[in-house]
Amino acid sequence: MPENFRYHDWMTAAELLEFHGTLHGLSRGEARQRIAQTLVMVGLKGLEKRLVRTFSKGMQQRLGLAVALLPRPRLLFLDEPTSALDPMGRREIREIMQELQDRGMAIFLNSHLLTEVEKVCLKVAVIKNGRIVATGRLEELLGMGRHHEVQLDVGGLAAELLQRIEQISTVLHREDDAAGRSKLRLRVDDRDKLPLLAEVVVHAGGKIYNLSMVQNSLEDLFMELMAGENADA
Amino acid sequence: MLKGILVMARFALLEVLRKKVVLAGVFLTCVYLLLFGLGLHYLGANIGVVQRQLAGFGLFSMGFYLATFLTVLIAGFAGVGAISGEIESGTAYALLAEPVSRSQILLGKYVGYGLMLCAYAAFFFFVLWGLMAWQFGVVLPGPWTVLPLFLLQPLIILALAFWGSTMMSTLANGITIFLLYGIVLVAGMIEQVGGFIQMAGGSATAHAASVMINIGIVSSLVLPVDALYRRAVFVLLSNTGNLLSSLQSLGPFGSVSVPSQAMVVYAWVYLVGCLLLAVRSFKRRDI
Repeated sequence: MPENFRYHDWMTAAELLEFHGTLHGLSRGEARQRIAQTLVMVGLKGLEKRLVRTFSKGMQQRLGLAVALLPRPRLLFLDEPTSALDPMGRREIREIMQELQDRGMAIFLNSHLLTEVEKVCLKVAVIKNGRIVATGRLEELLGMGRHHEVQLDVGGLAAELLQRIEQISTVLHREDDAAGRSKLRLRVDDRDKLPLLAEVVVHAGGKIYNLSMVQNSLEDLFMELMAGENADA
Repeated sequence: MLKGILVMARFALLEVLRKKVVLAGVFLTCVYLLLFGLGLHYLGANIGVVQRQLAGFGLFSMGFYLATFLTVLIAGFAGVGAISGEIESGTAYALLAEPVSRSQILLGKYVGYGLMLCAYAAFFFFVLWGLMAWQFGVVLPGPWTVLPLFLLQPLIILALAFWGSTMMSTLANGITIFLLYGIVLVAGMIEQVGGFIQMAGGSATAHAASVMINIGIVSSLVLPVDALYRRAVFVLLSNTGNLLSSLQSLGPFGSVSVPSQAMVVYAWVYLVGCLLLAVRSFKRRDI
């Protein structure tokens, strides 16, 4: 399904699907059968006789998915399927994609909406200047940034302890509360610094209330990979 | 290849029907034909034979000329946005993502629009021809010779418009096609005037006549539409037993300088050439 497509809006949904079905070489009988099935899959059942021009943008995207599903593809290419949609429309398309995934269909999703990618994709590739600069399973990619952020909630943060912490990490943010606890947002360059941080705090008499990795988002990773250069991604 | 063309042709026909183009066109054409028929009907029974023939054949020449003009105009309107319109509206992206080649899309749409135009033009022609027989009492000769000449004109304009549509925006293509057609019409009339001067004789005017005729011939090579009209009207009116046929052939809608059969062959080659160029241009276009 291409990006920024528009369908011939003088057709009804059924006519449009039949037209595209015949372009795929489906016989009229096969096309009718598939039209009924795909309209159910994309939640447009009962709207066969409505003109495409009366469909909302989200409904047209779903109709686009129905067109793409007509020839029973094993691999589906979707180019920015949720662009220009409102949050409800995005959710509808996302749910259809997830349902198709559950049915065993492989979906190749091209998108700049990285939160959508995070929610739907199992494997991700980041392209910069036409070249893949990172690829792999999503959880692997999110752990591959050069830096990791850590949340440390500590009690009894004396100047000496802070100095020791700063030797291991960079303090990004500090927030003290009335109870004498400090919430620190730290950046470390190695995940192995976490146990070291715990050891330093405990050794200096501090109390640890929370020590956890802050999960990187795909957007963080993307920005990091793109940083420093003008790039088309 | 053929199946894809047929699917696209069916699509194009459905589009024309659904957009009510045919409905509006047929309705207004019927009004036109009604007026034409009334004109023939009321051609004074009380006037002399000479005047009646002059008026009747004159009315037919004008009616036939305008019929040609209208079919060509409709072909132009149909073709100028055939490809560019799809690209400008974004519907081309949805089409090109399907397993159908660009040549199938273009040729299929051409076949669809062409069939619609042929049906329309044939209806137009035979009603004009029939009204002459029914209301004026003259069965014009060679309708089956003239029909291909009449149909070829909108088909050529359609092919040219398709070619332009692969290279230019709809507006630019429309302006180009209609201006070109206007130029060719004027050049065709200049050719007829040249033919008249040549017929009138005299060595002093021979050069002027020759230049004027050549202007028409060159313009017919650029767009062989007016030449087809002149040949068609020659076939229809040259052998009618009309007392004033020579006089009428001198009018703006007549045919003094008759295009040769070679020009008809050239027109067919021109049509095929335009389509091939359109396919080539569309295949190369970056969308």
